[in-house]
Amino acid sequence: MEKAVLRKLTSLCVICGVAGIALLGIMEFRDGKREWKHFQIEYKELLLKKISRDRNPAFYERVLGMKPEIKQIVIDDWGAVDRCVSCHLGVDDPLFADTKQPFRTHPRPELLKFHPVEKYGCTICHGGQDLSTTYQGAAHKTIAHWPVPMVEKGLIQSRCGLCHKDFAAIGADKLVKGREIYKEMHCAGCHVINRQGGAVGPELSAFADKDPGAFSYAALGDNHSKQNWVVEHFKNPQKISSGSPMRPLALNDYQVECLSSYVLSLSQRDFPSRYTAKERADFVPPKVDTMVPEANLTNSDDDGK
Amino acid sequence: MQNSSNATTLPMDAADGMVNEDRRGFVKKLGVTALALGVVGAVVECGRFLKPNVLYEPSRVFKVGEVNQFPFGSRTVIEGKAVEIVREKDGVYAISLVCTHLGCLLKPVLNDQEIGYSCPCHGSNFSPKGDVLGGPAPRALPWYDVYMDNTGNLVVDASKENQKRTKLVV
Ligand code: FES
Repeated sequence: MEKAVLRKLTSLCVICGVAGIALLGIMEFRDGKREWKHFQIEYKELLLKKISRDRNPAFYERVLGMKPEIKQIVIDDWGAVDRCVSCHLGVDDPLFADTKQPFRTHPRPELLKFHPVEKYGCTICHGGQDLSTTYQGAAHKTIAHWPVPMVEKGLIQSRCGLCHKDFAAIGADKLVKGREIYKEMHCAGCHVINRQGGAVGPELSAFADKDPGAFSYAALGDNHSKQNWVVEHFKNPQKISSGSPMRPLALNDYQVECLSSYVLSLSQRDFPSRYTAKERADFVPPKVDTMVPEANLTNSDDDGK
Repeated sequence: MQNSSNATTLPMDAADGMVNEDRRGFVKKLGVTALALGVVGAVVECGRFLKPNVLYEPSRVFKVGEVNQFPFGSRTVIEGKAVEIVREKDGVYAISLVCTHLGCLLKPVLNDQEIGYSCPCHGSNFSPKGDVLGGPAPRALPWYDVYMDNTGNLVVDASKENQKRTKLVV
């Protein structure tokens, strides 16, 4: 081979080799910089300070040997693989009650007692993107292309209502109030819930299960989420879904929150009984329809369900 | 040859062919090393890429409940996890309930001096400590690591076998 060609090949080798090594270096660096790894290292340090070797040597040794790894809770029946616990490491550990986020203990430990994290995970109540391992991607706030961001504080009871139909029994005041508003405003005149009501507007029995992609977000600005759609829609129906015959409701913000929570809790998704709460044997969901069917109509559907 | 050491550091001084050849040799070696390192690194990373960080499966480390849920002398099957927690006077241990023959779920045999577990599939029997007493099972039942966390819950780590069969003293 000619010397000039050989020389060129040699420099090509050097350049490729160095470039390859540099890329590997960048990869290692970036891989090591993941949020959750950083949090897990910090958590380990915090935990080691809170426990003592003398009291529980086996546990101490384990914590000492902890390496960053993705932690997750798989809930097949809900179709979720919650990786929230990769960062929220102290969520059911009372030692972390006043540590900063993401390590802090759940603010309502009494709820966790009935819904252990390792059984229920997080997204079943809180929404958000289960598989994500970044703050942004987990949809703590609304993000593009993930239509079920974490449920805002004001609407969180809507998630209780997915399984608990006896709102009063669990003290879900907003759901109770929301259902009252629904009844008072005669929403059942146009909407059907569980075979009660009229068929002017869309049926709401399974509103929570409705595909978020089926809503039009054009009038919503950046905050594209079903929850936000519902709230804004109750404030001004015609603005959010143009051409809707629904009239604006005279409700204050709190009432809108209650009504939205109620509507967002209407699910018909079946969940295995080992997850759901026991209901009073004589529990009958209160009627939401105050309409009295005309006496001479024989096919009235009113069976009180 | 005597100025070969500064040939690389001061290349501008290189006047005769000898030094030039040295320099070329060095560059060649550098090139080969860099390329080799790059290729090896890429292969290693590709291998790592093929091995998933995590699978869609429940964690092999799981809580089984507070210690006082397991009274002395009790044997508790953990639903859905195929382990049994045995608490004795001198400690707690977790034993696998998966038959070492073909993986059927074993049935704990209570009130029997010799047999602790028996397999409904092909009749293997195991002693209360998990050793094979009879049947086609090839190996004893593994014991898993158990520890107590800071909230007083027993945690089983089914990814680690407790080969020494030590009991956790609680
Ligand atoms: S699987 Fe248990 S004996 Fe064959």
